[in-house]
Amino acid sequence: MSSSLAWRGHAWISLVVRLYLGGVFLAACAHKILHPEVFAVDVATYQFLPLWSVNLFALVVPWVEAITGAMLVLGIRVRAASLLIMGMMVAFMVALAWALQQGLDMSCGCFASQAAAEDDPISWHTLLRDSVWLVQSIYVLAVDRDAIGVERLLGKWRKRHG
Amino acid sequence: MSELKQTTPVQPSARATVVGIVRDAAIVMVVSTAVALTVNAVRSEGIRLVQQEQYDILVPCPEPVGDPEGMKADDARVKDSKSLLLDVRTKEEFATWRMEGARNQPFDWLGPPVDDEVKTVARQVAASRAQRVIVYGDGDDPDSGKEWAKLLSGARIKNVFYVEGGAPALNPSLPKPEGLPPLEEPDEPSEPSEPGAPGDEAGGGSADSGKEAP
Repeated sequence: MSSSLAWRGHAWISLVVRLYLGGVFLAACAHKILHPEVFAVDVATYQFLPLWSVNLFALVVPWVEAITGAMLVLGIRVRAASLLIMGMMVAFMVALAWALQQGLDMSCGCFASQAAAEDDPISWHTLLRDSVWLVQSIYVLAVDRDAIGVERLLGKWRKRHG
Repeated sequence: MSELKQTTPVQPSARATVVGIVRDAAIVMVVSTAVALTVNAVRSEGIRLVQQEQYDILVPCPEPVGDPEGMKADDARVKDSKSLLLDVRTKEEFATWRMEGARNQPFDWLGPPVDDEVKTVARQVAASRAQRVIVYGDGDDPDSGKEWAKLLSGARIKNVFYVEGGAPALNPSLPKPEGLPPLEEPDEPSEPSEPGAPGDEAGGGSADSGKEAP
């Protein structure tokens, strides 16, 4: 098991996964950061969180998405970033499954506001899509021990220059 | 030997690795929170950190004016416990007969704008956590139930339905709506009608006239 995880090819596969996953999260956070008041309504629409926490969630989560997305793309502390993404994906999937079970006909709110409900309605396909991203984050967390990226380059530079 | 010890890279233990990952993740969370709160404080249109009032939405509509869906009176969803029933007939009509569990929200065509009432009902709907809202009215043309359902949809509530035919469709023993008289009478010179001629009320034309809406 440990030998299969130590395979050097994982770093390159993980790089592709990281770039994709990081890009997804950077794209997802944009409208939420620009329009937190709209995203707060999206969060409230799920009727999942208590009212007092809706705005805090709507403010903080997009920045977590932005920072973790950037960390994955750049190759900085990728395992910590993938751990956070994993946690967010689990949370999103629970809320999504709950909304689907309640029969709510609404937008995912993942990449656009509820105004785009007809473009991105929630469905079991949304849940499947999220589970793919969850698996990807678990993969990065499990195998990417020496991520290709800025952090590795800095490490090499430090070794060379004492 | 001592040189060898110094040059061999020290592999961190699994526990230390996990602790390191969790610590880094916690730092990212703290930084993200700090950035989020700072940006929100700086923004002129920043939002309140703790929301006090309920967001008056169940599921928002993309359009400012909603387009509720019609529903047959015998639809099983009408009697579903997850449906919120709104009876928009007058209080007197509501007192005479109502669907079990229905709330009365009288709709007065000639009354003042009902924006505040719609918002109040929208909040109640959101708080009720019902899966859908079913409105029924007098079943006339225009149907007060359908009109109220439109208003409710326009207030960013989705999953709003109206019962086609209104209360008389739900309870056939209720009197059918009479409707308004036709706006234009035929402008033909009056001729004495012959007994049994087409159009003569005695000839049975009233059944059809009842179906036609003004």
